Amino acid sequence: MAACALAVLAAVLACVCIQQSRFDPAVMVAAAASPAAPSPAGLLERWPEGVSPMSGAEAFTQGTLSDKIDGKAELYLSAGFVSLKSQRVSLAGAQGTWMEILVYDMGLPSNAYSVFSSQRRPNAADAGMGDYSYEADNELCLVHGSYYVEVVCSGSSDPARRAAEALARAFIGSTAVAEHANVGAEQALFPTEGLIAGSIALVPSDVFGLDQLRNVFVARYRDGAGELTLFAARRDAPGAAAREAAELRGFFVADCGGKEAPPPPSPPGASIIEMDGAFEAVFSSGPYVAGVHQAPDRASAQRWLGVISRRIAGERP
Amino acid sequence: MRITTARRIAQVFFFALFAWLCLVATVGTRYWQWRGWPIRWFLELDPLVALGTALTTRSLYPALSWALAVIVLTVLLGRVFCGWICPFGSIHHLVSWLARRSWPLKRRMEANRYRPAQVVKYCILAALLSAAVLPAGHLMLASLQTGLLDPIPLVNRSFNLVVLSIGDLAAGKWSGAGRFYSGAGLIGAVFLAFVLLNLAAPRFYCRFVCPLGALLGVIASAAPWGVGARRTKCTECGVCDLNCAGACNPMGPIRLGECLMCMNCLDDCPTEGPVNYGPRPSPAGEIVSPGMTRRDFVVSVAAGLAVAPLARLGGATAGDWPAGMIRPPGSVAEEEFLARCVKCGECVRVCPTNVLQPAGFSFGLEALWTPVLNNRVGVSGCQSNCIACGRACPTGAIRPLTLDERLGQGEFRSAGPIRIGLACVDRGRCLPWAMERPCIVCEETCPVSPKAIHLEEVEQTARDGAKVRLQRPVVDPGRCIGCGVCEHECPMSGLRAIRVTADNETRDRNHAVLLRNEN
Amino acid sequence: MNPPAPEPGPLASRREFFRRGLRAGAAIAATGGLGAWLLNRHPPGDFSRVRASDPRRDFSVRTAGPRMAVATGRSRPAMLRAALAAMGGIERYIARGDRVMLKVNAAFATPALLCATTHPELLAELVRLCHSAGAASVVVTDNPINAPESCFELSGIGPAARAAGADLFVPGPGSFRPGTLPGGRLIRDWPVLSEPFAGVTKLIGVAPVKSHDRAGASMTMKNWYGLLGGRRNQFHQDIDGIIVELAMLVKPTLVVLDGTDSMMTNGPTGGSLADLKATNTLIVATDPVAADALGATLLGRSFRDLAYLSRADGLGLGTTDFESLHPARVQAQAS
Repeated sequence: MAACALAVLAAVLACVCIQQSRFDPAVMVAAAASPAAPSPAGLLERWPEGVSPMSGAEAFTQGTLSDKIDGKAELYLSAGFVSLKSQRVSLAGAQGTWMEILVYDMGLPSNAYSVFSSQRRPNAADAGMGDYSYEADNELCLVHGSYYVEVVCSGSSDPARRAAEALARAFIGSTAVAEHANVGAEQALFPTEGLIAGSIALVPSDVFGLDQLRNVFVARYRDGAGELTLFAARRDAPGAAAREAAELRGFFVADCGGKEAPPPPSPPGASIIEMDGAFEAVFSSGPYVAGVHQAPDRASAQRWLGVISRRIAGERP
Repeated sequence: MRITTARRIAQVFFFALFAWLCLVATVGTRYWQWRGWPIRWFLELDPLVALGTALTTRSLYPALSWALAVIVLTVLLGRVFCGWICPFGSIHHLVSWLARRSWPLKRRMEANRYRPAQVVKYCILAALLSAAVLPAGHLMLASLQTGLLDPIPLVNRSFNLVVLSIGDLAAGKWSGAGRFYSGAGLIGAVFLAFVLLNLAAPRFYCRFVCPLGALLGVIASAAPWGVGARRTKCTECGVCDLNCAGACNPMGPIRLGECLMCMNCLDDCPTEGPVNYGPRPSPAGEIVSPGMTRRDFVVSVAAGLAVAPLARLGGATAGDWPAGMIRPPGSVAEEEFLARCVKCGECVRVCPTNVLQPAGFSFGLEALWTPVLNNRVGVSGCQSNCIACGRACPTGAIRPLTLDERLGQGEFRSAGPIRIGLACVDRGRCLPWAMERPCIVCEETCPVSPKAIHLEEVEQTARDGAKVRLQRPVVDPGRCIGCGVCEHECPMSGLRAIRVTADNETRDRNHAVLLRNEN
Repeated sequence: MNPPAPEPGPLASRREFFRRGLRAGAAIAATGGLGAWLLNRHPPGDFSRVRASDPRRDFSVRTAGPRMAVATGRSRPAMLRAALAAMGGIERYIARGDRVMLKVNAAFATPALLCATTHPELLAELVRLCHSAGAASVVVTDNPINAPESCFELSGIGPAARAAGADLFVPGPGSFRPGTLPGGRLIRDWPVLSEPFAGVTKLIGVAPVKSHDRAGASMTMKNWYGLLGGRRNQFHQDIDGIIVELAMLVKPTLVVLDGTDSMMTNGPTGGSLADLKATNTLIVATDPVAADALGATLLGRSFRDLAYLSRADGLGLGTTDFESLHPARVQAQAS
């Protein structure tokens, strides 16, 4: 009799224990709903040695990107942003040093390069990983296919730097991409002499503050004591490039109060406009539209125009 | 193994299980949290919960089928539920034992003699069942009040809302944030009173008050076996009364309805003694009737029948419905709610934001200890993507919703989200409306999308002559779901400048403000 | 201590045990059976799942065809007789043995002369005519806005109905059933008057011409509002929508639109004789939309001013082009 009762108790215990593994729908709903709950899968499957997650991975969409990076979201959103995954990790034995890795999925390699290049820090050194990368102080940024990755450290010590590199390499190693970012062709459009290192950037929109210019490569050059900017872009069709050049010229003259200076002898169809004390130059050649921005005087505008137009002519098949 | 040892193991086991199921009743996936633990099980086992709700709703809620098993168990074996399973009974058993351990034998035997007052629990049962038995509906004739004295709901709410909360003050991790429950004082006092009454008589509650015990006592009269005494060898030493839990007079004639099957008498009776467990009738005689006189019965039934009309004549379920009484999402309409809620406190316990509270007397007598929302307490108002309370309710007073139904998605898109109330801005207290100070906390924290609160911009000249741009919140009743996050976050923390009332709640068409199709 | 009972013999105790076992078995079976019978597999109070009872009622007499008659005069009974005669006689619509329901407007407890409610004289004559056509029973009903008893009594409708030998049905809370109108947005799981309809074979709506602040006018189509229960004042937020759905809900045999004295302003309650204008017209029609369209002209408006009319026309519930019904225009002799 007593044994019977104990058997019943054991059965109850067994059933209760089996039941507890079948989560109640309320629990499942709550687990799914809570974004702050640490997700079992972090950003990376395997973390480099000494690096361990401090919190769960966070995910952001176009609608919620500004929750994470506030005003900077505009830059990414206008460049084709798709999603952001980020996670904070801590470094073992490094007294409170922690890092955050942010992986922006920009949709296309060129978009990734664009946000990479437009935010490039002035004193950055090439970090030699991914498609393009640089390291500056406490930050490591790189482009890997359509991903733009930032690893931001709480300090700029050597161990932190090494850990950041390890983290970046771990990401690159574990993330396959369909297409790599390669802007070599566009970069080659720019003459090397006088080029300020690392200044070639792809600006997705609002180039020079102009609505008309978007998706344009720009590069800064030293011209004597001052600096100026060259810009160039390859369009899909020759007509498009020519139209864009004409539009730009028209905009400078009509809307910006620019005065058209006598056109240079070459390249054909080019124009030089004086505006606000500086000189702009625009021309198109085949599918390329290019020019000079804020040259100090007409002579330098013409000179640089010639440099870039020859370069582009050399590029044309 | 002695049967009493088995019984003690069973009591410890079920009490530990009960305490564990109370502890884990908090939303989460860790092993000390809800996961899949059957937190409603003890309530589902309770035959009085099943019988009470079956009377008021004329239907048996599926989860309560467990009660049928307990009834079958009682039909076969008597009140083993009381002696072996009931966690409240185990508490009384322990306290009674502790109180009398050192008493002289004669005093202990005397304490366990049958008292005529033990018929009171049958009267309580009769009153509670009569309160529930007439057809409910607009005739205001039936009311479910079994939850007040039914031991499982009573111990469940006492343990969950009072004992664990006190324990949690120290540990701080057994449930979400620090838990506060309005009216916990009264709940705790009732619990403490019943526990301390064991000092007046052993298992006082079980013998004199428990309506479930009375019900099982009536059912136990059908049992083929029972404790009894053979007349041979009985020296009438009275030692069987020494530890008798039910005061049932095992020496005979045994009062079957009182026997709690504790088996102590079998243990205490010397070997080859008369007391045994065997086929009925007991040779020493048995008394099956509870001892209720006709007068007792009539008075109890009359008192019970009076409960519903007395409670409802105030109009609390009619035109004078309390606007401040916000029920949990998924609650059925009020009359049916009151016909189902056994005041177990389970929903109040699992609520992850601690916004659910046991009601006091302010919403009417029938609403005592039923769950209502108080947006000033807890961490946030009612989370819109949570379905915990409906899943915790053992009787269906709060329906077990799916998330889709709660949010008005998927197949419920045309019905829209479930609303529990409507927030209204008190323009006399709101900072941008009345006090020239900017604040948009309510709009920021409104969780629905698009937001139910939008802002009207106005430029005003402040008292000091400066121009101030103010954004003033305006509620859209077509979007507001009454979740109360805005009320919770309002910086006017005394009387909030935006408050939720139960208007426009989906569960009752009569409370609607707008036509339903405006989503 | 009681005297000990004698120990039972082995056979007796076995019999006794068997009996008790049987009783226990019966108790278990009864418990199981009761439990299974009461078991409620579907969750209670499922307010989101709309119950499908279709509340539509069609009392139209198709063989009679769409018709309309417009009587002018001052005597309501005379105008009614004249109009019905022009429609082919009441026998065309009410057959011997029919159980007729007269849906009046008893919304307010105002005296008959203020014309906020159906006029008792008109009602009495209509009851008489139904009886003369052989109706087995006539029931008069409405779900008033104010307290039902006083509405029926003070408006004179109650006494007139009783004097004419009709039954008066005063709705109570149990007189309504939840109905969902197929294709309706508003009448979903809404209490609709149902108890007095039991056995009814013909329905005649009788309403006065009144202006209405929300709807523009309250005439025969707005009259069906009285079939709704619950807190129906919500529907004022979409008054045109609800009137159209009411037209889908019920198709009467006839409607009688009383424009003897039309309430031009301060409708629908009125309150002053100055609100009334003697328009001396009574309209009887099979098509409530057409009746209302003509009634609008008595208020100095066109059907285009009443959005619900065009919507109802668009849904094929009637026509606003009342002239197409070739309304018979008759002059009533004062009698």
